[in-house]
Amino acid sequence: IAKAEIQHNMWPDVITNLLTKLNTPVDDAKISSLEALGYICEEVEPQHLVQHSNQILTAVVHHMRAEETNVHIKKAAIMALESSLAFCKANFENKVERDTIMTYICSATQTDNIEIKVPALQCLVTTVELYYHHMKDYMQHCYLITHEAMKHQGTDGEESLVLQGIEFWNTLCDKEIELKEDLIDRGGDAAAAAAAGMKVSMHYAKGAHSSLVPILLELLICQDDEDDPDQWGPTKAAVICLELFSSVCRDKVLPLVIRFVETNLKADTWQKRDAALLAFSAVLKHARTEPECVTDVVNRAILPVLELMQDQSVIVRDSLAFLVGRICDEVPGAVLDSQPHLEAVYKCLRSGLGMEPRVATNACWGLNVLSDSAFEHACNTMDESLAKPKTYKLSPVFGAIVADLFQVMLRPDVSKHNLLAASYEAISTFINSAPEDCYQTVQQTTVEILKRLDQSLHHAAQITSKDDLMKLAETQSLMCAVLQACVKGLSRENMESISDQVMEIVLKILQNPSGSMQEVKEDALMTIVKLAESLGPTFEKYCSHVQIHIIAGLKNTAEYHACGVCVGLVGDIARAIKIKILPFCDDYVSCLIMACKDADLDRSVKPNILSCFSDIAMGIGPLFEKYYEATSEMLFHASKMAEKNTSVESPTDYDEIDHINDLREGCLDGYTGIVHALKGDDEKNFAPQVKLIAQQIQHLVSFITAIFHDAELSDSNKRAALGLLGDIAEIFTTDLANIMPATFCNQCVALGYRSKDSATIEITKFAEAKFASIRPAGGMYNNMMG
Amino acid sequence: RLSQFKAKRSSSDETARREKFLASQKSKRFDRFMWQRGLGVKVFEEPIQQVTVEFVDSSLPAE
Repeated sequence: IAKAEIQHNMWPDVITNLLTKLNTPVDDAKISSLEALGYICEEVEPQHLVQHSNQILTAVVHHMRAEETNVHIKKAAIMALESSLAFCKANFENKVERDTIMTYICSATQTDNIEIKVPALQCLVTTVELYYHHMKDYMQHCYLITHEAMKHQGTDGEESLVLQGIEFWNTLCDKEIELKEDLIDRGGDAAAAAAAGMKVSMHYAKGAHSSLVPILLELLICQDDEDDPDQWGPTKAAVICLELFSSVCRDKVLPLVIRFVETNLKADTWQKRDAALLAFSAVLKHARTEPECVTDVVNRAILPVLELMQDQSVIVRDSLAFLVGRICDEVPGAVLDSQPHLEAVYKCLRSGLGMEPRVATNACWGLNVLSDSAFEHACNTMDESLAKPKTYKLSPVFGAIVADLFQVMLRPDVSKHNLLAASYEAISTFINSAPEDCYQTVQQTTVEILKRLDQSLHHAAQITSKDDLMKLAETQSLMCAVLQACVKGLSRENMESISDQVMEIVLKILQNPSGSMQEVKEDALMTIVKLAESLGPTFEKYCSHVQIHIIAGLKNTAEYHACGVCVGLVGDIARAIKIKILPFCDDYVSCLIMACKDADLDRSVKPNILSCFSDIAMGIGPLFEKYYEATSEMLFHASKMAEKNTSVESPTDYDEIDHINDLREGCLDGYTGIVHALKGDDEKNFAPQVKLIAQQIQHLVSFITAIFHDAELSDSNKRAALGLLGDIAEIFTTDLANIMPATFCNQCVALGYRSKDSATIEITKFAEAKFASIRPAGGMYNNMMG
Repeated sequence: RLSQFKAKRSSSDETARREKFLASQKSKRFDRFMWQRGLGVKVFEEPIQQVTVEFVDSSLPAE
C-alpha cells in the first residue's frame, strides 16, 4: 500500500508512524515495524524517502548496536539498513555519518551468528555498489571481512557467507569495469580524467587479486557430482568472480590461473581437471579486446587441453566443449590461423556431438561460434567490393558439419539439455555465415527444412495434448529460423523459383494450431520479412495473402512481440514493393494508428510504429499526403513526450532513458521519412506536398533543441536529428533564418562533431553543408514556407 | 549472476533473433535515408549472383 500511496503523497505519516512503533517495548512490534520499513525502503523510489533518511537511519542503526540482544530485531534492522542505503547519499557524503554507518555494518559482520552475518555482508555489497568512491577508508576492513567469509568453503550451512564474500568482489569488479570503460570512452588518460572531476577506478581489484584469486581457484575444486546446474553456489560464483577479475586485470590474474591450469589439467580427480578448465574459460572471458594477452597461452595450451575430450567424466567433457566455444569466440585467431589447431578443434567438437546431451549441446554451440568467427575472419580479409566471402576456413567441412548437425536431431535423447534447439541454432548460424563456395549446402538445407516443416504440419494434425503442441511449436520456430537464414542466403533467381513453396508453408504454419503459439507466429512472420527483403518488387504477389495475418497481428496488441514483427513487416513490404503497397495503406495506417493509441500495447513497440510511418511514406512518396494529418498528429504527441530531459528527471532509470531515446528515434525517423516522401524524387523540383511540412518546422526545432539538452541523448538520436535538420535546410532554404538561426545551427554542428561515430560525423558534415544554404527570403524556394 | 554464469553467446536464439530483426530494421531505414541524401550507400543494388546450382533432393538424412 505504501508503494502505491507514497509516490502520490497520499500517506505522508507512514514513516513517522512506523518509527514511533519502534519505541514500544514489544519486540514483535519492533520487528514488524523494521520489516515494514525495510520493504518500503526497498520498494519505494528513493526520491520519495530521502526526506526521512536521517530519522530512518537513526532508528535502524539504534537497533543494530551491540546491546541489542534480540537477533530477530537486529536482523530486521540490518535488512532495513540495506534497503535504506540508496537514499542515504547525503549521509554518505558526510564523513562522520559515513564512518558511523560503516562501523555498524562492519561490526555486524563480526558476530558468530550467521543470521546476522549474512545480511551484514549483503549490506557491504550494497555499499560498494552505491558508494564505491567513498570506500577508501574502509577497504582494508572490507577486504579482511570478505576474505574471511570466502574461506568458509566446505563448512556446512555457511555457503551463503562464501557467496556474499564473493559477491562483494563481483560487485566491486563490475564497478571497476564500468569505470574502465568510461575512461576508454573519454580517451583513456586517467590523470586528465580525474583532474576534470571524472570518477576513476581506485584499482582495488588489482590490489586484492593476488590473495583472492588463489581462494577462488580453490573454490572451483569444491564441486559435487550432483551439483544442480540451476542452483547458484560457490563454484559458479567463483567462476564469475574470476571472469570479472580477469576483465579488470587480466595480466595479473593470468599467470596465477595458468599455473593452476598446468597443475590440475591432468590431476587424478575430475574435480581438479574440471576446475582447470573452468579457470581457463574464466580467464578468457572478454579477452577479444586484448587478444595479445592470451593468444600465446592459448596457442601453447590448446592441443593438450583438447585431449580432455576423452576424459571419463562427463562434467569435464562438458566444461571442455564450453571452453572450446569460448576460445573460438574470444581468441579466434588461435584456432583459425593454425591449420593443426583448426583441425583439432573441429575433430574435438565433432566427437562432442556424439557424446552425452550436455556435452553435445556445448559442442553445437562451439561449432556455432566457430562458424561465426570464421565468417568474420573471412570478411575482414576479403575484397571490400564483394557482398560475402567466396570461401572461409570451414568451407571444406561445411557440408559435413551441417549433415552432422542434422544427424544430432535423430538422437533419441535430443530433447535433453536443449540439444535440439542448439543443433538447429548451429545450422542457422552456418547457413547465415555460408560463403559462396558453400552455396550448394544452403540449397540442400532449404529443401530439407521445407520438407521437415511440411512433415511437422502433418504431425500437428495428430497432436492432442498441449505439451506436444508446445514442443512442436518450439521445433517449428527453430525450423523457421533456419528457413530465414536460407531465404537470406539464396540467390534471387533461386529464391524466385522456390518462393511460392516457402510462402505456402509459412501461411500454413500461421493457420495451424501451433501457429497460434507466439514464438511460432513471430518466427513465421520473420520468415515473411526475409522473403520480402529477398524478393523485392516481386513480393507484391503475396501481399493480399499476408495482409490478413499482418492486420490480425497489428490488432492483437496483447502479443506485443508478434505485433512488433508485423510493424516491421509492413515497413519491409513498403521498402520492397514501394508504390504498390498503396492499395493496402488505408488498412495498415489505420491499424498502426490504433495500435499507437492503445494504452495497453507494450511501450517498446510504439517507437517502431512511428518509424514505420517513415517506411510507408517513402514507399508511396507524395501520395502520403492522405495520411499526413493523422500520422503527424501521432508524431507530434510522441515527440512532446520524448522532450523529457531524462538526465534530470530520471537519471537512474535506465529503462526509461532507453525508452525515451527509442521514442525520439521513432519520431525523428517518422518525420524524416515523411519529409523525403513529400518532397518527391525530383531533386530539382520538389513536389508541392512538401509545403505541409512547413507548419511542423518550429515544433521540430524546439523538439530537437530540447533533446539536445539531455545529457543522456544517444548518438543515434543525435545523428537522426542532424540528418532531419539538414533535410529541412535543404528544402526550406529561405525563411529558415529566423527559425533556425546561425547560433542554433552552429551548436547542433558542434554537438555532432563531438561524436566518435563516423556515420554521425558524416551526417554532421551533410547538415553543416545544408545549413550554409539557409538565407533570408528571395531564394530559389521562396514560396515553400507559404 | 546465475544467468551470467549460464550465458553463452548464442547468435540465433529467440531473443537474439528478435534483437537482430529490430537492429536490421533500423539499419535498413538509416541506409535508405543516407541514399536519399546522396551520401553514397548502395542499398538498392541487386544482390551479387551466386553460383547457380540446380535444386536436387537433399542428400541429408531424413528426420
